Amino acid sequence: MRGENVGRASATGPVVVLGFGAAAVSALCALREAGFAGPVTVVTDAGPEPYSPVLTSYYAGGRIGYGQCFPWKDLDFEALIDDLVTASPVEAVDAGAREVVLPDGRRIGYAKLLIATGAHPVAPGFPATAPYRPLVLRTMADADRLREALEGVQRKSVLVAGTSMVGLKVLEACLDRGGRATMLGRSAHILRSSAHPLVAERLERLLVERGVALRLSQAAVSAAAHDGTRGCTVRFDNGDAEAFDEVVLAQGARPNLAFVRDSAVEVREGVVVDRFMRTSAPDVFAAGDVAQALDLSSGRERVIGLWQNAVQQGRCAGAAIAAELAGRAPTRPYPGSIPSNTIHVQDILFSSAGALAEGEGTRIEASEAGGALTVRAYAYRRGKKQLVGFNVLAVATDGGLYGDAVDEIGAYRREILNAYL
Amino acid sequence: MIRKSLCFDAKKCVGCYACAVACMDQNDIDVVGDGVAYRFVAHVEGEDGGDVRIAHVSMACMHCEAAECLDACPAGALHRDEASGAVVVRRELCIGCHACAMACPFGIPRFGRDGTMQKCDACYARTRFGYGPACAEICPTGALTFEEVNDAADAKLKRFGRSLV
Amino acid sequence: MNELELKLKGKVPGDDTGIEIRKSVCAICDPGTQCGLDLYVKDGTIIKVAGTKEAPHSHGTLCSKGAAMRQYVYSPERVLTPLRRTGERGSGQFEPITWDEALDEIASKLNGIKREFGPESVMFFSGYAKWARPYLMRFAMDFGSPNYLTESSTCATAMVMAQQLTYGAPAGPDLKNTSCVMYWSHNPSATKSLNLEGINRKIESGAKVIVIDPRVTDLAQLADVFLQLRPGTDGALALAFGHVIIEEGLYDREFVASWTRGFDEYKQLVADMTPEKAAGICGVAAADIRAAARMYAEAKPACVHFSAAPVVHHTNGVQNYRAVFCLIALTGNLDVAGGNRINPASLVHQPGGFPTREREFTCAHRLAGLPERIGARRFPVWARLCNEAQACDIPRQMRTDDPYPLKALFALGLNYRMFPGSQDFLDEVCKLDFIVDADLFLTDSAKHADIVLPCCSSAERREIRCWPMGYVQFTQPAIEPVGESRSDVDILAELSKRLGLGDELLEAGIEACVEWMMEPSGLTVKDLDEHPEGMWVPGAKPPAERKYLDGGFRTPSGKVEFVSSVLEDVGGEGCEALPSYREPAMSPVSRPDLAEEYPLVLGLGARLPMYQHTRTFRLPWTRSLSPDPHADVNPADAAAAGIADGGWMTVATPKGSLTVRAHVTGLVREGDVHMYHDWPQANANDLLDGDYLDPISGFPGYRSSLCKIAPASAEGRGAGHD
Repeated sequence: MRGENVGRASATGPVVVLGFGAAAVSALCALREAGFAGPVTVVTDAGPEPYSPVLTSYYAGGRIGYGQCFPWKDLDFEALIDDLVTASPVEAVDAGAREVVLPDGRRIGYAKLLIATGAHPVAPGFPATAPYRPLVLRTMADADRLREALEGVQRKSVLVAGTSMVGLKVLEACLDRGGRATMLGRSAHILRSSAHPLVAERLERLLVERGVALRLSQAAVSAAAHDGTRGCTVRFDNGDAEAFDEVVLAQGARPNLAFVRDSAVEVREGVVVDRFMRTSAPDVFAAGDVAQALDLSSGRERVIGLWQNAVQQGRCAGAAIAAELAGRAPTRPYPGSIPSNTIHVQDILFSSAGALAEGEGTRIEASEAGGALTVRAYAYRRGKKQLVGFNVLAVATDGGLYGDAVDEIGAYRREILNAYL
Repeated sequence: MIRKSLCFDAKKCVGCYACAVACMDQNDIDVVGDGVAYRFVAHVEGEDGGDVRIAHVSMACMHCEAAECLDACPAGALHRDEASGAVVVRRELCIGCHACAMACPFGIPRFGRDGTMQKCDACYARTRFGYGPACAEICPTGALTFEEVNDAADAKLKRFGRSLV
Repeated sequence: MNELELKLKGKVPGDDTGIEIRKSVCAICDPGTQCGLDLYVKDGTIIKVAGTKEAPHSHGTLCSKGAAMRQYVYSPERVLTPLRRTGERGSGQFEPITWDEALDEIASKLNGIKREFGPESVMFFSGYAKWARPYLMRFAMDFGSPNYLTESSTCATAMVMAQQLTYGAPAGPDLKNTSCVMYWSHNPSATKSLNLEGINRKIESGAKVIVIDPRVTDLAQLADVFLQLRPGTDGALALAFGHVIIEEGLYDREFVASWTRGFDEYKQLVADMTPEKAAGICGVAAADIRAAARMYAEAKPACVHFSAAPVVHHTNGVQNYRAVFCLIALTGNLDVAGGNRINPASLVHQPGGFPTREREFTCAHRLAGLPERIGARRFPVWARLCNEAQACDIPRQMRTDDPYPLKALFALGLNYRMFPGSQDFLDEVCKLDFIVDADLFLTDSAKHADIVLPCCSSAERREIRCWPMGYVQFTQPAIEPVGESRSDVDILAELSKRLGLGDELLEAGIEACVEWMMEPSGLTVKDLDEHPEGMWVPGAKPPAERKYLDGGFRTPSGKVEFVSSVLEDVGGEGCEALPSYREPAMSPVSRPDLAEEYPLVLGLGARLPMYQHTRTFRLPWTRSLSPDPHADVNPADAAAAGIADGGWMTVATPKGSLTVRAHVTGLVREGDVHMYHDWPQANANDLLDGDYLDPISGFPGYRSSLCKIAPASAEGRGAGHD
């Protein structure tokens, strides 16, 4: 059931949504909740059911089944979408003509366009290894390949190139599959952008205790594919060489914006948007991992590729589109966000929010009460009045329970946010 | 539709824990096994003009109107029950990622030994059929009630919520 | 989820879900005014517990203990069959036996001991719950033993005695009609949270509230005047109240002149206790004493809300409460609406507004013809005023065989931790030839019995209870008994047959007994059975006002006795006829020598809301709320001792020491340490000597002695329950 037809798409076409991830789905829901009853077209390079990229590592690691990767089972997509174009990338956006161009030359006119195409993994600096193709993890197809690779021989040796959150998620999948994992990173410590060096150092020790090999402050200089079998031998800048069954590149992601060549849509790190997710081009919006929005911690506009941001930006965009189509000004701006993340590796939980680097000083607490290790780092400014970032590292005890520190992470995050909002 | 909601009056709460245990009973919470309590009672001591004062808070999921946990869950394990307005977790879908814990300012999401999140569902499976939430039904002092939410009660609850954040 | 699945998840009663609500009462704690239970039963099993809306006292609510009833009923530690001990006492080694074997063995042992040593050598003890006490007393009388005793040897009886000595019978506060309530040591947050809604309503209606308590409580925060006194100085404070009331002419001259004994002596006594002097003793401001005394005396009517144990758990306890109760008479608030009203009990210590034959049923009148009771010589006032033996004297009699040896104990719910110097008490009891304990669980006490009998809970049995507003309920079993457990009364009836006691009424079972006891009320078992949820008793009426006008008070003089005839007659140290104030036997004032090493006042027995003695330690739900033993310490004392909140510390007395967590809180006075009792791994009552007793009542001086604290490590802290 659609609401009253308050917003009618202009004669130039429907609302077109590029991408079918968290931002897109959230925008679709918001559009309809706001009462927009006009036609909606979705173009995705994936399949007809949207999946959650956050779940891909759980799937690859065998924790969840394929079916569980699709978190919107309750949604009535038929009520949300009139025309769903699947398995189709976008060739270009013609902002002047208000048209989207598909590779087959088809052009779809739009009244409003939402770019929510997400991101793709990048592998800067990893040497070419043809014919061996290193694995990456983002899409369901990536996850299927990784899953297949990890499922094979027991005790496979896997090189995880990258020490970011994604790297740790891949690592978790490897360990879940019984693999022997090595982490490679250029920095002295893992999680360079979110963890305090002392917290990272403790986390590294925990990983090593769990059988993970670390190659930090190192880079791969060459990778030679093995003959006949999968895998390759990687030579590092310290002179070492080591053979791996699989290499997974987990060095970060870039927005999927290859199709945005029209200079009317300003792109820097991501698509530049205002607080209602409007781009520089008229009637074009962007949300999720493609958009650079306000990072409250640094005060800069940048891409913070988080699920929750994508959902909230998508909602903001959807509501704004519906409002404009109904002839009203949008009212609920996207307030910005702070970096935040939680990551599990086996019995270890690391969480962080805000930016430690923004603090004038950091307080570190470690406790091992009752066998439960927790390490906490808090960064403050304005004396000790304003919390700007924290890390909590905890190891589960008593059959899987994390300590009280973990129960408080939401309150810490809120404390940081409150100071900015 | 008139919606009823759990309301808490801190002035009337004496920290007796009846709500906490009634919740365990209603939800068959195995506190020594896989379960975690959904409702907590805290005692807050302070001073008022030199006199020591004590206040008590009975807390569980607030079922926020703009529930950040709903936005944060990447697994579709949280949804809002439309009839009651309750935010409900489906543990079978939870991957234990703690994103909800990071999103919730009240520290409500808790994780048992199986790693999945557990929390109050406002007894939506009772309220749908005209029964009250176990915690409100048992409260001996009238601190926890299940009432039609009017603007005044709503504002009071929001003030209380903000004071906690 | 489909609708049925959702209803099952919600535990919604109905034909479709097969969930039925059955009515019962909770007897985990036993205040007399039991809380009504709605037991949600599916396929014969309780799946949820809620309060009964029509229950006249609890109105559909429960406390945290009652809410945990399901874990109480289905505890994996329930005793399922009769057990015979195979190992050492306390080892917990037992073999299951049949009921026939158990009952036959008990009957033959008890009759053998009776033949050899006399019936008085067998003790009949009741712990919790209290419902079976009239039956057990009758059973003891049938057997011919004067030694029917209960855990009320350390709870409530001394409070009743203080009132009996003063005006003949307990006089409860008439909260409904009062304009001022003086709560003299009452913490409903922990013990009677159900009372709080009424208190709040009372305050909203404009009634004045005075709270007297050594600790800051929720109730204290609601008070117009709060007096946070040093533990055990209640008597001095009450005398100072009397001082102010007489000095300012606020007393009821007419009532005092006509209906009291010894007013002049009392006047002289209080003349010496100025508010300034009491302020020094009690540690409160003299101005506050005056304000409270005026408030209580000027409000008409005003009542005193007393409680069962805190004030009488002092070595000067009865006299302290006597001093308080004198104020009721002094101000003319006795047996009047809105004051304190004498209200005779109908069933199990509880008034119901209807007459019964419960007292006759207990056969208490036969006591006169039996040998002297345990404690009768040591605590003659006790022996004169109540029908039980004083269990606190058991260890002495065990050691001395004076006046005769004790050989056997038959107990319904023995809990040795209720007694001061608990371990010593248990050690002495273990010297008995034969011990039977009937209980739900194999408690630490039961582990020392020769035969353990499995009892059932209130959900599995029938019991009759009444409420002061004229309500009565004869419950039906909500479920089949767990295992082979039986109702206490069924056990007594069966055992009576095998002992050959020839008590046809008791042996006919509970329905026959109830029919007999209820006969004067006009209600039959048939009437009661038509209302398993309970019923208003037709014609039940509140007690008349000023009943003393017709026949006086039930004291020897027929008057309110400022000077007690009984105490005058008995005499001796601590038994002064006037309610004069004496320091607790161990206080910084009475024992400055001891206070040098043990500078803090130790109060044992402050309640936590989720525990009632040992009864809910073993339930994971309640235990999860407060897993470790702890004591409340003032921040100044904690800082001085180098103890952090939540850290472990030792609490030591001359008798012994325990390791508990420190709860550092400004709610207790500087210089005071308060600790909950009965913890299995840290039983506070072991910190006192078994002889630390009030000479009038024989009650332990739990609430004030001396201790010291020091930081401790957590090593060796075990789990456990009772």
